[in-house]
Amino acid sequence: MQPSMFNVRVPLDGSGDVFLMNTFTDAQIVVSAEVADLLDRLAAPGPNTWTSDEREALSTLAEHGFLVDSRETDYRNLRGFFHEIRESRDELRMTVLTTLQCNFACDYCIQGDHGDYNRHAAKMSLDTAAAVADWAERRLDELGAETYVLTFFGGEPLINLPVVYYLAERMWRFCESRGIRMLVNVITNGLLLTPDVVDRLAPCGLNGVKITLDGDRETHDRMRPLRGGQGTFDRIVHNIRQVAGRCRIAIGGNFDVDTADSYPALLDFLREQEFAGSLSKVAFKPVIRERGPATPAATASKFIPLTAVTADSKPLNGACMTSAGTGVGACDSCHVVDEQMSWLREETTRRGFPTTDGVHMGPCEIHRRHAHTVGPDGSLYACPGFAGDAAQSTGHIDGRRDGPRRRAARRFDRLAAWRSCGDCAFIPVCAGGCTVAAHSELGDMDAPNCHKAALEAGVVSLAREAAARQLELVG
Amino acid sequence: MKIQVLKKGNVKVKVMESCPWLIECPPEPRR
Repeated sequence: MQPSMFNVRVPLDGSGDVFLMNTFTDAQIVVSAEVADLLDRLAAPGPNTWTSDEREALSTLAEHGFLVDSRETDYRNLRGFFHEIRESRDELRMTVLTTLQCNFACDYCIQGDHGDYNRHAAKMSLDTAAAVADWAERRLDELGAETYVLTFFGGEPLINLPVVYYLAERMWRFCESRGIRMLVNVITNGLLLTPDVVDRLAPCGLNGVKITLDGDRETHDRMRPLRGGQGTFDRIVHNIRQVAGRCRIAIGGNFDVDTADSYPALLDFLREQEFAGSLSKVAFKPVIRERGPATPAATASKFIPLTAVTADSKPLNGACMTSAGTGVGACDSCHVVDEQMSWLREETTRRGFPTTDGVHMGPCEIHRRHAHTVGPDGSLYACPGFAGDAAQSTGHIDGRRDGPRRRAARRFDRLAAWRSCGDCAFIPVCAGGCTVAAHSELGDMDAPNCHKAALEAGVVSLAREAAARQLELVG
Repeated sequence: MKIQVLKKGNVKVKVMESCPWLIECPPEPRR
């Protein structure tokens, strides 16, 4: 036996104890230093003799996956894990982009109410929605899926309410007739979210609504204004008040190095609201803005997720991504973002809001064969981040499979950036990072997008929570 | 030899409910 490569450990302050997690089995334990030493002895070359206490401890460690027969066992487990995710037929997941139009004019997003964008941006017709439902029904029957997850996204999905209602209601009737559990999610900017919308979707399995607030009132209004520059914060908060208690509400937000400082004020504000207790999740994600005069190349990808740029707006060409599996050599900007993510997570937790733990960051839906993003014209994509780029369409609801779509489908089918991550302990909860970020910056979706420092910070937070729980138990 | 189990090991397929990395609004892809 030997220690699993998916073990991560954090020494706990004061007690000498050690927090151990196995990212493959998700086991989390606190052990005394002598147990942690056992793992070190096991990893060292040469024969070992064990006392009965030590044998018992090793048996417990093995039971939770901290010990494996060989490194090959770890890799075999990993391959099986990703295969199971890719091929699972338990769920059909569909993210439907009802429109690429948006009623906001966020300056960090090319989509939206800028210039004549909305005049040309696609919007799903009811005819297409009917074809989408036909396709979804066939897929559900073919898969024998137990669960159907329908997420409305855009653009701003609530701009196209007729399609939202049509798809939700028709698919609900179908799922009921087949005994399939159906969940509906809406990712919205919140401006058009009313009790009427929630009440209409509630009988169709409405699972939750995710609303974006980009910082405190002043910052949000600067980041997410209407076309005329009017703020949207007050209206969104008003809408949240109106629907609170009728459905689960999650708050998301997009921060950059300039706006992160405003988030504690947003959290304080949310904490004071009557609906605070009904927020199912509060989690913020980074967006890194271009700085200075944009170059033509940078303008083409103005909206860069998780991608650092230099002061003169030159993308760093994935410098931070070359550190896959090592956790060293990450660029300074990425390091700052990782730190800010950890800091905001702690600020969120401190105010009592449920949030992500910073460790379980994957695998995302792109690794599932039966998860699809459906564009307004019925084109299929592996992830919303690729929607709108015809070269990345993997198929179409009408069944067409031209050469480019076939090639794209094969590309996404083979997707496994984690294979380049060596023996990184975080592969099971990261899967090589965000494919869209890797594609946007490196032009190589097969390259890992490493934010190991953020994952490590997440484990430290988990360890701190474990230590706090221990103190409570002792107290 | 102290081992306090906070969470038992349980290998099952875990897939994120929503994208953990990207911001909510989809990026304009490279064309």
